[in-house]
Amino acid sequence: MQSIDLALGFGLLGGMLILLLIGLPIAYSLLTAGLVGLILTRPWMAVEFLVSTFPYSASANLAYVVLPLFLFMGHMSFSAGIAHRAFDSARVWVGALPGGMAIATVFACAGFAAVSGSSLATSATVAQVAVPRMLKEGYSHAISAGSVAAAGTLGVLIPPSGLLIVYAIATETSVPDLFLAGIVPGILTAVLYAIMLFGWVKLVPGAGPSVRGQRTTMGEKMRAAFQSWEILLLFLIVMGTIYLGIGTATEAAAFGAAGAVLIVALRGGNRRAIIWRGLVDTGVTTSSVFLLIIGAGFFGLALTTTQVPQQLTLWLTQFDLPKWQLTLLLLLPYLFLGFFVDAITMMLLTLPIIFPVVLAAGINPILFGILVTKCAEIGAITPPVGLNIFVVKNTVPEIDVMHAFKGAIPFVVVELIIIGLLVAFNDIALILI
Amino acid sequence: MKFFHAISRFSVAVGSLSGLATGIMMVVILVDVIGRAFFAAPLPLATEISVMLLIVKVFLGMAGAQATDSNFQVTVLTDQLSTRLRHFQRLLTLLIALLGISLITWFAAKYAISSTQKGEMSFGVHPWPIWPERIILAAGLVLLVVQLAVDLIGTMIWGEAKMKAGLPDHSGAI
Amino acid sequence: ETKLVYAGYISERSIATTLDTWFMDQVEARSGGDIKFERYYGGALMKAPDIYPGLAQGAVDFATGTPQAYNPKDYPLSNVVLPWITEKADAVVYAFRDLYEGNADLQKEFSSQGVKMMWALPFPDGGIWGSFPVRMPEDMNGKRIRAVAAIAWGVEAGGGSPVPMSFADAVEAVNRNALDAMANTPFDSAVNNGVPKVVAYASDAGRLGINSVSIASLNQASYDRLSDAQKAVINEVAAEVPGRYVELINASMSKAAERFLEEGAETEVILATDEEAAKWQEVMGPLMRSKYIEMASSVTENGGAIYDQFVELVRKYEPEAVYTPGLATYVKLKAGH
Ligand code: NA
Ligand code: NA
Repeated sequence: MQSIDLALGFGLLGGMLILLLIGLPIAYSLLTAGLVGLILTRPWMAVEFLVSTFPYSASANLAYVVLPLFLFMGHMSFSAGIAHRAFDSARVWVGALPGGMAIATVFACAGFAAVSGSSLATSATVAQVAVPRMLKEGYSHAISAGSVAAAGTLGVLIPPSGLLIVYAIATETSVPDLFLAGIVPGILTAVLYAIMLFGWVKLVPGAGPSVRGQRTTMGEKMRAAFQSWEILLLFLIVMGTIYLGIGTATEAAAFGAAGAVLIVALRGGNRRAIIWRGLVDTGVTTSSVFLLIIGAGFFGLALTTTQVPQQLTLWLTQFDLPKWQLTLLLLLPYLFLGFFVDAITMMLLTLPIIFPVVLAAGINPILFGILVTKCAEIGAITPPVGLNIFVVKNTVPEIDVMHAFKGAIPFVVVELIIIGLLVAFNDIALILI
Repeated sequence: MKFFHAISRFSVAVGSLSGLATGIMMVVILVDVIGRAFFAAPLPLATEISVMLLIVKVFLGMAGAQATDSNFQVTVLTDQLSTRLRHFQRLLTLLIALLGISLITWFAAKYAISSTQKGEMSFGVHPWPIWPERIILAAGLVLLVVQLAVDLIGTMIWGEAKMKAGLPDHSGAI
Repeated sequence: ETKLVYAGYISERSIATTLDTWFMDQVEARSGGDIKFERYYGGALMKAPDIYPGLAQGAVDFATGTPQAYNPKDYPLSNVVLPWITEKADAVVYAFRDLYEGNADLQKEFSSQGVKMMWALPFPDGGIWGSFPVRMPEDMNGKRIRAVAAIAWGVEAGGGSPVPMSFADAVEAVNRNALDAMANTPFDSAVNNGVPKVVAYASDAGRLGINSVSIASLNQASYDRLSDAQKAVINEVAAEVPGRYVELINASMSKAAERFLEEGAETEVILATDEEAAKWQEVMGPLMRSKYIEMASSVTENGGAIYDQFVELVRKYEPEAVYTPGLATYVKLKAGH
């Protein structure tokens, strides 16, 4: 009985993978496979009830309102030209260092990450300003594209973060806790990237200018920092609302979005068109992300009825591995899937199976969220499907994709080191909670 | 062809309208928080209204996302296909999607009807009707089914490129 | 061999779910494996609002939920377990059972949905946990208090603003002073979810007490399909559940109270005096009764009579009740240390 169910479960997983590979959109693949699974495991009455109620139950939740609001805030920040000014100030501060322009790019991404919840948007936005500048100053394609694609992943590590919200939805963990846990690892990542870039231009001839450029005065630095007041303001609005006790994460998102709209209004341009465009794009993105969330939840439901997740939990917990070993073991699928699938899909695909193990083994779910985010985002800069690399290529067409992927390799190494550090010293993530 | 394009554009337009829900959502939440924080007077039903707006956003935007091909997909294998094979791949996947989503829509629509007949309500602090949300959800799914059918038939007759010509492009990933 | 599918949404640590598990284990054992349960805990199969509609449609055979809260249109009369009636959980178990057995309207509420009611178990006593002490209803004046359903009416009556919010959000909001207090907090859930760590005061709010029940039911058609022997086993074990609940509930409260104490919470607990409780009774009693009549009016004119009958049954069982409310258990435990 049970083994039949299990076989069915694995059949379901296989069938879903086939649908993915023949190019059926991921959400439809999940829904279709889930539908077939339920039809095979449940009586018809149960199928009908579960199918008819699931789409509503999976989306009608106040906690999910936070996602479109942060997406909208990111759109508005983009339109307000915040990335441009972030890069300018970072350049004044660190641009004179060897490899300074690449290091400035990393910090510009970190800055933009504080107002945007998207990895892809952070890469695309900063690439627009930073990559042409780097190429002009003699940085190689590899280092230019690699740094902006890799540092773009800070978009989902430094709060706000769409990916962490999706994780929170899938696992019913706390958004504020996840956001807090992302801050220190985010800053650590930016700093280690900067150190690595410094070493890169020093060690590899032709990577970029390896000598000190012209120093800037303290006055210039102060003026430059002041230029980025919008980032500081929006970040303080969002984090302040949550942590000074004015409201919940959802409410903070509403404040952040309103703040970003205000900045667009102050900056001028075709305000009405910009805001309308932001609303429409947010609408489409929200729909496709939620279709994915509903699909993954539905597939997870079908999988649960085949007992696969429950059995896997039993099987994995019986070995009694030390927590750190089990954690690393559970992260492996993400590193592998990352070659082919984007971060959000990967998370939604795997969490129904993996998260029960995390809970049963007593691994901190917030820490695991940060680790999964880290691993999943490595996939954004590895071939053959590396969305952040693609988006940099789209933004700056002269970039060579092969060089860009090569340029991402040192960043992947740094990422793996950071993951190791996080597993060894959990407090890097958990200290602020 | 004109008719098919009109339906796609209609889906996109409904999707844009659903974008407006984000703006309203933002305002509702702001009024609620400010009322609560400074006047100890939260907006009644703010929770219920926000959730309803989310349902509007999510489900009325689905057909638009389909029309503009904004749903995430894995293209590792399909990128290698010849134009001819790619055409059949496209038809096959549209057919599967149409069958699956139609079944889900059928059940959801039936449930929306019975929910409406019963006048389904929720009860937080004040009573709030849920049945309109069930109808919105079903309507969004029906529109998605229509869009899938239009995409399938249109692609069969004129090919993918012609079907998607002139529609806006969205990038959906987070 | 018959397989029955079970779905619940309440946390696995709760007493309601513990007893579901006990029931299913006993039925499996006593039927010699003739009945088997396929179990879906914690909302794994259906979310709270879908539990009873799903049970009615036969999507599952056995389920525990709170239909009166999530499906109030279909189950208005089950809302009779209202706050400010009693603190005695065991009295409520027996009173609800007797009320159901003797009241055709209440029976119809379940039978008309194709559902066979098995038992109703009170959530442990609630209170108001927050940054200020609640001794009298007026103390809530101008305060923002997370509250839903009947307690929200009580908050409004005291001049406060009820804010509907999820439990987890509310803990966060109280911690950061975005809210002044939270209600609808069964004692054990409050302790297990760290509420004592974020509040200065936990008040019994004039013995607000028991304010909701979880209800376990079978799908009628699933039940009818069972053999007589199988039905006998089910009914035998089900009849033992209320007694089992009473056995377990005090131990469960003591355990939660110990945890409260161990975590060294600085929380000050406010228990109402007899005079204070009487004054709350004066305000809240008639309010709850009239609200109940209003809710019941969609199905019956007898709302007032049902409410009175329930209160009367509670009073009948109160003298022999052994339940000690969670907050009182904590106060005793603390005094002992
Ligand atoms: Na971010
Ligand atoms: Na990849």
